Amino acid sequence: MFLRLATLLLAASATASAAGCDEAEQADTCERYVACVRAIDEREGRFTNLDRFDPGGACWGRDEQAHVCEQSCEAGLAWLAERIPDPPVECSP
Amino acid sequence: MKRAVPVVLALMFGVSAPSHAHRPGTGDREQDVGEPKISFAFYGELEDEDDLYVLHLDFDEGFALPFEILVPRRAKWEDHRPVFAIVGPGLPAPTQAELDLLPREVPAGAGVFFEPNDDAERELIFETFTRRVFWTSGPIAVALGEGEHEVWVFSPDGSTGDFVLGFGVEEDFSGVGCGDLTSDWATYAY
Repeated sequence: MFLRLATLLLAASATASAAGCDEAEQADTCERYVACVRAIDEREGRFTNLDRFDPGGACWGRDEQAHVCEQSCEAGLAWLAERIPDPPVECSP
Repeated sequence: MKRAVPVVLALMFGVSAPSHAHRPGTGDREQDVGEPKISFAFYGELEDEDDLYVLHLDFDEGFALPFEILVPRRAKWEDHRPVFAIVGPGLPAPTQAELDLLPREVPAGAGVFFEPNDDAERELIFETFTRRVFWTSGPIAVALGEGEHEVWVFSPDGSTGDFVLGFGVEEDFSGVGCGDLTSDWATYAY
């Protein structure tokens, strides 16, 4: 009986941990941020790894992380629009 | 049977232990951050107005990632406003106002991203790893160029107190044992 109880508790814990792990979709702000950085890269002839912000990237595994990424993209886009000389049209806020 | 109880409790704790936190780090005022592409949280304390932390990050390719700086929500630190500057390739030249605040000379050819952490109302967050409430500067994505960077953490207005510098998204705790996670617990949880 004790073993059954332990199994039930473990299963409940695992379910609780898994709950809320639905994959989020790429935020609009990150779609724009990625487009902006890639436009700058193309103009400057360089490469920036943006995998985490792309659809299916590490940003979109959990709601909490997705929210952080969404906020970071919005702030990052605003900073680029302000600080990059002659920013590409993709960087318009 | 009696021995099964602590085993079950240990297994339960293992299943529900936090698995989505930055790698924690503490330590010297100047240090290298191995694997900067993996999310990292550095816990430190600014002890006087000239205190400065320098983290060295070396990227093998251009890399964009979020950064933010946090202060534990305690009344004594309500006016504590640590800032950070990222210095390295792929960033724009600093403004004169930024140069006036920076604690060190910017190397030739390097650009700067500067987080002033000066929003009148700072957002509060609940950090799930330490289970504490923090004021945050707010996360911001910064695109860094390939090569060596430094992150400077300091307090231009001379405020003192604890801080946490967090950056990155990807997680990898494969090289971190339970001892590493808990050895500095007194620093994380207070």
